[in-house]
Amino acid sequence: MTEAARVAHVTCLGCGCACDDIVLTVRDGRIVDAERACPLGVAWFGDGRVPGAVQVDGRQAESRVALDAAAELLRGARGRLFVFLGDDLTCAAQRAALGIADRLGAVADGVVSETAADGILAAQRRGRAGATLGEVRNRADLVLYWAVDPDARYPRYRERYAGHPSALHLHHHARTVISVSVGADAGPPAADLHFELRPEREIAVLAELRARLLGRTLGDAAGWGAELTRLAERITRARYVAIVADGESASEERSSDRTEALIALAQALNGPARAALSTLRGGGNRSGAEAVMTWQTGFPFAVDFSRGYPRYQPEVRGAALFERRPFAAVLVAGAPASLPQAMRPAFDGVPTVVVGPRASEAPFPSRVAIDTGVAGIHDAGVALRMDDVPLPLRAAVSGPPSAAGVLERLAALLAGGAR
Amino acid sequence: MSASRLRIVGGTVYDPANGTDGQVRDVCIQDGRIVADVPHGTPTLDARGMVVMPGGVDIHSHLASSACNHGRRLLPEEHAADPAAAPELDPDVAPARSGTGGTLPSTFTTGYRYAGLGYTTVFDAAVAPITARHTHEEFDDTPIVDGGFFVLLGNDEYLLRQVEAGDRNRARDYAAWMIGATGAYAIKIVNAGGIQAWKSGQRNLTEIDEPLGSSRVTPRAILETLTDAANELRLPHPVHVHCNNLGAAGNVKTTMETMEALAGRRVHYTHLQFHCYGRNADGGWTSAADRVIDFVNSDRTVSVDVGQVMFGPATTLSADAPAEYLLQASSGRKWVNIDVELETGCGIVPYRYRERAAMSALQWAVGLELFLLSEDPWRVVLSTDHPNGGSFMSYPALIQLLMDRGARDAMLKRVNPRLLAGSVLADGLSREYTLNEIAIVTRAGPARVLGLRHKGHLGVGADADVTVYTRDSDIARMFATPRYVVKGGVLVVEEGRLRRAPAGRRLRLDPGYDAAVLRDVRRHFDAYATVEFENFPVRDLRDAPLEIG
Amino acid sequence: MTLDLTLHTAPSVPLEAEVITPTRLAGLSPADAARLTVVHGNQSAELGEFFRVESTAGGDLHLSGDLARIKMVGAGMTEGRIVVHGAAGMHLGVGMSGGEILVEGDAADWVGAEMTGGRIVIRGNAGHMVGAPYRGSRVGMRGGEILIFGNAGSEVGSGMRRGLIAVAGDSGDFTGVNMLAGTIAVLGRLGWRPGAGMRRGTIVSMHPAELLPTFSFACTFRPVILRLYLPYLRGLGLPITEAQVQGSYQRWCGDAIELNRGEILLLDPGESSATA
Repeated sequence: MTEAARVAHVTCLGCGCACDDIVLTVRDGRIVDAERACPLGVAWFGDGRVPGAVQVDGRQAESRVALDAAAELLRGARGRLFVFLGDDLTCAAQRAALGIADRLGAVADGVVSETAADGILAAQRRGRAGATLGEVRNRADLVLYWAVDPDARYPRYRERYAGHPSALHLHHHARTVISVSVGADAGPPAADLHFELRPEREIAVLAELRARLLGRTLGDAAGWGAELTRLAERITRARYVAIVADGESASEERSSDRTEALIALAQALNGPARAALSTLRGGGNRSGAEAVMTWQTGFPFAVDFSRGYPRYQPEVRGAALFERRPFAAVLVAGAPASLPQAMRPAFDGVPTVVVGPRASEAPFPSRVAIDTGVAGIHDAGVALRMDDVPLPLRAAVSGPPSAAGVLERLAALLAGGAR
Repeated sequence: MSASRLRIVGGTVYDPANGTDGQVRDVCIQDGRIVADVPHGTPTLDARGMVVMPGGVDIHSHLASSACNHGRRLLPEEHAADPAAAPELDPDVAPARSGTGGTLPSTFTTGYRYAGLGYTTVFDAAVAPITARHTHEEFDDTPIVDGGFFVLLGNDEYLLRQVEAGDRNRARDYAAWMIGATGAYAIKIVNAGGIQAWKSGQRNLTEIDEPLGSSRVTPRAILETLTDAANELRLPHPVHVHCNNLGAAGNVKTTMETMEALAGRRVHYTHLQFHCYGRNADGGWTSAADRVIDFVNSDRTVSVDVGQVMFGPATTLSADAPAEYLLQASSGRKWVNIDVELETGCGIVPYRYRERAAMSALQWAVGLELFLLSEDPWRVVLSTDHPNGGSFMSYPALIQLLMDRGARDAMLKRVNPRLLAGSVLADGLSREYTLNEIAIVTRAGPARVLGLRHKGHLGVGADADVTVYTRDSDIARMFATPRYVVKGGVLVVEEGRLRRAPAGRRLRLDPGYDAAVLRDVRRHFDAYATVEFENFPVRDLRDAPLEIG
Repeated sequence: MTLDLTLHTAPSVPLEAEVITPTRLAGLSPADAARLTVVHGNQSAELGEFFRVESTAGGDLHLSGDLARIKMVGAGMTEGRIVVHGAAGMHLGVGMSGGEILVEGDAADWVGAEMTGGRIVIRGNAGHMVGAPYRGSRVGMRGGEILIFGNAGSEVGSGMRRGLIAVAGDSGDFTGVNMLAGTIAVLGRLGWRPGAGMRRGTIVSMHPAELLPTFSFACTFRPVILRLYLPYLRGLGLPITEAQVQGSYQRWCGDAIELNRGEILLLDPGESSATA
């Protein structure tokens, strides 16, 4: 038994909070403790052991042979190709995977098109009123949780970004917490004020609130009770309002119009005072995938390279992509486990290459599977926090080859084939 | 052709830094540098009858940053309208990448398009320290051009605290640490203290002695502290200043007071056009370019870039969030505002400069007045503040406006004259820039202002960044389509077509400082930052920092 | 003389066939037309791999077969007439500036997105985003007419600036969202939150609707404009009753959080029951 090593300042990608204060204890190549990590973080790190297999048609193979087989399969495919950008990759790995999609004329998409597309589309119509999380922490004298309790899916959000630390600009001002519940989507129970809304009233209330703050007259249909008047008055007294909403809510009733109403409300609050919408985003490096797609193609998700240049196809994304007919070939870059459930049946019978953590344990058959390390556990690099702040990832545990390295080699093979 | 040696034969060379103004001579290249001669039998490029200049140097652009990416994400409609298929490169190099254009092109397309204009060095002028990693990642995907960035410090909470305390030494050491930790090249001030005011609900600081909240911090104190810090650190580029009160009628007062406050010190004022407006009796905008350029002409320690406005689409994108707030309110366009913790802000509003719009016409005229009244092209250099005043793709059209009075006067006749009454340009300016002056304002001048000794000239030892143009009476066409572009000795554009796309280098510094400051900075991080102090510095950068001094 | 295109091989993935416009096909022999490029997956293909091309007399371009997977038919067309004998795929007639497209079956999403002129007639139902702007852009349909005899999906006329959209059946949620001007007439029911964010323009419905609280009731009146528009639509074959032409309408103004110069006209229930 070897001595335990402590690795400090580790960034956790268990959720979009990307807490970078984790201390891992590693013994015999296993993570035995993740200090400060929440339950999601503990699950994210696990014991740090991942398989290191390289397989062709389910049989162990040399990595060079497997890469040649992958390149041949992808290069030879006729018809539509699909490249999935997983979220447990470093930005460098995502950049390489997107380069492969470009080379192949494939459709490229990631996790966010299933979970956060509505919010992105809303922001493309109206813009954003945002802040990095440190501004919420240091300035917000009013935090308004809109239909979300971060404790469940973003466990350390309140502690790190909206709790009661020694905030820089709040010395003499207490922080007020308002919890708005919309149907089953409850706000946090611990709050100074609570409001409840029926889901079908939600957009109307957001519109009413905004109209109020802008001093517009409302029609007879306004169901403006004493409750909401109280809410509006409390909001207008604040110096800096942080509206916290879930960018990846699992609820059915989440449309881009609802996000647009939240953005519009946050924007309207700027002027008389200051306000920001803090959008909660899930784990892994999904914000990185969105950013990489944006800087390489101009579009944040649902990109189709089939014409030799990127086209934005948000209306044909995620599961809808697969409704019509199978792809001729698929490259999954990242852990197969991060594939949205809705997409998985579509992989039946499609020649598939998987490069990523636990590729060899994919729940669907793959022609080529190359296991790699996990971003921020075995692979060093960069990932983006939910507010797009880039953070360093450390290789705390040694593991299989890095995903970036494998994908760059695959990209080089495919580039060579173009000669 | 990627031989390590090359001879560019018989071109008419404009190399103002070495006093070469249109002489016919060969330019010799070996191992990525300009050399005095190369052996017989070296591959040649026939440049006879053509114009040879150093590669272009863009001193102020927004091309690789978290803020740019917010802008890209905001504008799918622009990208859909300007698809950019992968250029077909030589078969011996890795294939190029596709992308999209518009005012904020995708990264690969940005690199190809800059190189396609003969530009080989570009600086991103505004990077929030906490997002520096993002900028390095984007630069890694921006081929061909050598790139660097300026780090935003004029609204940084730790720095403002040192200003409040009057601790200039600590401010300087902090600035030095920041440059090294983020991999930056220079210090940028945007609207000194004004962004902090905006974030605090004070809206803005529009006068240089206006205090921030109840503190003793004023724009003047911030400007002085950082200007002296940059000069004491002997940074190759002085502090890069975006003045307070951008875009407002009458802001010439703030601009002149800023210049007077820092008179005698090395300072670079950026996109000066946006800061040269007077105010008429009705409170409307007028040109005050003549007053400002007089000052610039007389103070030889000052350099500026113009920030010319070009008619057409633009995206205003700035750390100056309060200015963007006003612009979205007046334009009604979609708007991004992002407060960046402890450091700065970010505002983005799409915009269009229209010939028919009086304000656009005035801004266009103010920029041209600065150019045409400048007495020293070495200190008044070209920029459009891409993409704020217009895309870098409009540089050839801008060069035409400077070189061709006919084209300029024709445009002047088309624009809305309402705010131009009594302006110097409307009264008639006959000056036409020479090719030598263009070589100064687009290459030699910016390189000298940036302190880049290996850029912007063709002397022995310089980086072998060379652009060859075919002479053309249509100046815009001439500068839009160079015949050859050599970057670091590699022929990237051949017969007007992009043939190679090597990676560019990162231009960054790592100044020395008294490390005692770090204990205090760590306390600041531990108390207020959401990123661990140990995780803040960017590590493992590809290229070594440049030498200082 | 013109061409008949009959689908003989259904594409395995959607085919992008913006070459199918009267102008592009004008004067081509069937053999030349069959060689035009279409995009199939990540491959270029020829039109003839999917369509049998024959020349016929008459001025219209006829398309037959199940075209639900053929996208962008008539995109950017400027003149002439296309008749689709069946269903049409996504992005039908996007950006068109003139001419006419008639679809005898249903049409998928994005019918007439950002069109500036001409007419599209859908005999069946239409999908979402009829006459809408592309992603990120503010302005949708800028002119022309879209007539839908069946139902339409959500966000009909989103960001519309000029022109006319008429739906004989029901329309989905957010009809006329962010509308800048123009007219949308729905003879059936409006979905949720019609006119959200509208600045100017008119939305008409023959049924009561639940409106956002940022719309306020102005008056009940007999709009002159409907006495012009509705008979015009009846002339184009829409089932408009005389009672609708002559009826009283409630006028609601909104959206108050925008410019508040839009209007939603709802046939007064008293009138509508009298005609039922």
